[in-house]
Amino acid sequence: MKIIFILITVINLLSIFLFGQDSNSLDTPSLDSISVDSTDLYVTQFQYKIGDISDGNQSVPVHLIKLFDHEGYSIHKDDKPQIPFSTKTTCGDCHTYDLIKDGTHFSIDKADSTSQIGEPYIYTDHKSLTILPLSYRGWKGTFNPDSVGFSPFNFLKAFGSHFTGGNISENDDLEKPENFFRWQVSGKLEINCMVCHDADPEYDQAEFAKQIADENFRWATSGASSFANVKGKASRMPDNFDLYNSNTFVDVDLRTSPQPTITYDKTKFDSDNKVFFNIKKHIGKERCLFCHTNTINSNEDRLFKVLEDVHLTAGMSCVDCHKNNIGHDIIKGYPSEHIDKKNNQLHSFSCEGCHIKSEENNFAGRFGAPNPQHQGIPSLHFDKLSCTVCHSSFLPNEQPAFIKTSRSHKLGVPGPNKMESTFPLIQSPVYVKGNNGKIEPRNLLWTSYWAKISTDMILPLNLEFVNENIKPLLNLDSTYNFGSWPTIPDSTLIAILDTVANFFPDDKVVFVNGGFLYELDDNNNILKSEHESAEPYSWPVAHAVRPAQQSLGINGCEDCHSPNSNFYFADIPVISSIENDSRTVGMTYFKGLNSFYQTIFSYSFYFRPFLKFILILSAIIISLVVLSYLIGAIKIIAKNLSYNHYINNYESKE
Amino acid sequence: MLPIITFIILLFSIIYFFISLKKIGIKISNLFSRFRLGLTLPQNLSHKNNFLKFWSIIQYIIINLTLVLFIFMLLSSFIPTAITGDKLSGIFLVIHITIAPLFSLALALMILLFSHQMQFNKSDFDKFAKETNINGNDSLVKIAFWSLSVLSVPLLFSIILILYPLFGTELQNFYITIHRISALLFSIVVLTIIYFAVISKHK
Repeated sequence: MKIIFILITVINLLSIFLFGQDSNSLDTPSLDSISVDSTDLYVTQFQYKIGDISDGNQSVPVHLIKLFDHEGYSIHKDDKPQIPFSTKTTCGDCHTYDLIKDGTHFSIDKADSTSQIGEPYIYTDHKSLTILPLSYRGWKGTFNPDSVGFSPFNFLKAFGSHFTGGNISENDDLEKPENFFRWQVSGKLEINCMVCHDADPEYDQAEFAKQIADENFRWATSGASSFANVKGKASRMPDNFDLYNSNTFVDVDLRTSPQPTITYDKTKFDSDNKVFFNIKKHIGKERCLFCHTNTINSNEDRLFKVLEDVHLTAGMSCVDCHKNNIGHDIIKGYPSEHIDKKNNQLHSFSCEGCHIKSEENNFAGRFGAPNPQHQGIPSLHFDKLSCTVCHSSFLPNEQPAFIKTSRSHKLGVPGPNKMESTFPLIQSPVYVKGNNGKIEPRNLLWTSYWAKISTDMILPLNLEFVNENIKPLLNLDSTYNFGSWPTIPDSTLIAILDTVANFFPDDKVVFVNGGFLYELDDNNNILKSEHESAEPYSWPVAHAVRPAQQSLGINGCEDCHSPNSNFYFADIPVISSIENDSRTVGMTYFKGLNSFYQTIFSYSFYFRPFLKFILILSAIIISLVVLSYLIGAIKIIAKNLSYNHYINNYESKE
Repeated sequence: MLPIITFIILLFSIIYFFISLKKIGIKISNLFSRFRLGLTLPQNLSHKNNFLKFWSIIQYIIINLTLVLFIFMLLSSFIPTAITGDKLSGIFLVIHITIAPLFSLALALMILLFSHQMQFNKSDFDKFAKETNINGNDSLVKIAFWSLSVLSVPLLFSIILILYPLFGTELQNFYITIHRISALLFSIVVLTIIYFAVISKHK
């Protein structure tokens, strides 16, 4: 055994000295992927690279490294033309890219195996009255972009500003044939490691978004970095564009439409042709907030209305809870995550798991998390409500507020619409009964789209078809993308449904809007019906967490249990495309509660002081009666036990 | 599964109760009158003395009211918990908390009005009703009365403490458990005394 161990060690050492590590090759395993277990005296070959597993040192290794392009060739500061660096080859030299690419942010093409739904990418076109929640993950209520003719290329163009790069932007199998040449021109959008890990304050995610809009996918990461400058637009280049062959774009007026080019800051390269990456493991909140911001859709009182999470205010960062291993499967922190992912330790990353110690969770108290007493709150509340109801999102008002999210409203990129009530109109908070049976606050979106009923299924029409055939009929070109959602009269709806029906003789064409399905009957009258597909889409929100002094219930039971409580009796306006449809839906609707019962129950709280008084009075009366006779009983017992009592009895008998 | 088992047990208990009554020749229509006779509830409502007559009526009302309210409290608390296995909530909770102050006041008055005549005396210690024949001042009724009185104390105080924001979740759960156990024992005592009152041999 010892001889074998020595032989293997010698062979490995020899291979290192003889072959070294070729800077242009990625296949040579690095020394640190070999581990020696000294207790058992045998060598185990892992698949990991040097940067996949920490040696335990809590400081961050200095990333003074060479840049590599997408073909694995080293980039020199004097190269002509300059090529954008590739994260797959540059970062992938030390970190196994194939392990990372299945992470939460990157594998959005994969159906979600957990029970938690999330924020979709929202396709909004007010001129065609279309609001479609899109997701590749198969969440109920969302639509796969492919099903509405949205190819990954177009998806990237529309939503790539708030996307990290990943499978849909680099997996050849997901490409559509019609976009083949454009992918060749733009290049692949690999995972942008810098979007999270670059701590350089000059890293510009807005520049990344701009590059995506220009279809400079290959150049996007480099353009956002502090040591490179990208100009030009791949979107203006012809299908046969070749960076190395200027003949392919000789017909393009480069004065107005230059080809994409990159210029590196030569001062950032050291004598060894290495560049310093300011890498952080403990990522700052700003990186996360670029894509994960929820803000009130109002310019008034922003000083007071914009919430900062109490955890962030206390000095924590997002990644303190939303951790991941090398696989980049981000911990989401919802209550049943430890069950879904079959890892009990994940329980400690949920609200309850961190703040409340229990039999199944010994990891409570992370970062000094206070243990809430919840004085005076009956435990029934914790069976019916999630923690986020009282502690997260905005306080409920007479109507839910309109909010903006980074991904839906392109927050943080150049030129977003800063007007109030910018589309899409997302309402928050709306309290909904979740999959686990508990009520939770959610963001709510009223969907609106043109669809057909085919074999009892509601299928949205292809977006290109809608743009070409329905949008001209609607004639809403003059409307703005903010303010009140545009509406059409019944007559217009009838005309459109009638016209579009000619394209689908075998199917029924419908308009899904405001919670209803609109179709034409045999007499060309509108038939309005409820349908599961017409239900608005909502997703849970857990941030921003308000401090205890701002939680629901801090003012007593009447915060929720009163006849004018916004928690139960707020009205949710329906965002409808039909003229004169100004419906509202009660907050109890989505909670699955009976409004009448809740009203009665709320009124009963007026009698609570009376209840307490009567109970206390009755308890005092009963206690005094019992006590008085108990004292009498004790007195008799004491009397019967006394010596004088026996003497008197004896004498009386005599 | 537990709610189903509970429901089956309850159903069989009720069926067994009525079969037992039939075996000893008690008709269901006579249940209430037998219960009143068994406890010799004050029913001298036509006494010549107006004050005594008035006081008898008061006692009569208090007893019956307490009994009726107890039945509502029993059903509203045990039906949802026994059948569904859930904590008390919804319409049953509303009924329970609406009737609670009335029941507690009626119970307090009943204890106040009857405590003196329910005092134990020497004869109670000399004889103990071995038969199921009970009368108003019989030992069994007195034991039941004072058991109810003592159980009323934790029953009420446990819920009073929960109504104020004094204690956290853990202690709240503890007091709820106290309330539940007290209520269960209270109900057992009441149902036992009702049973013996109904089946007792009346003179």
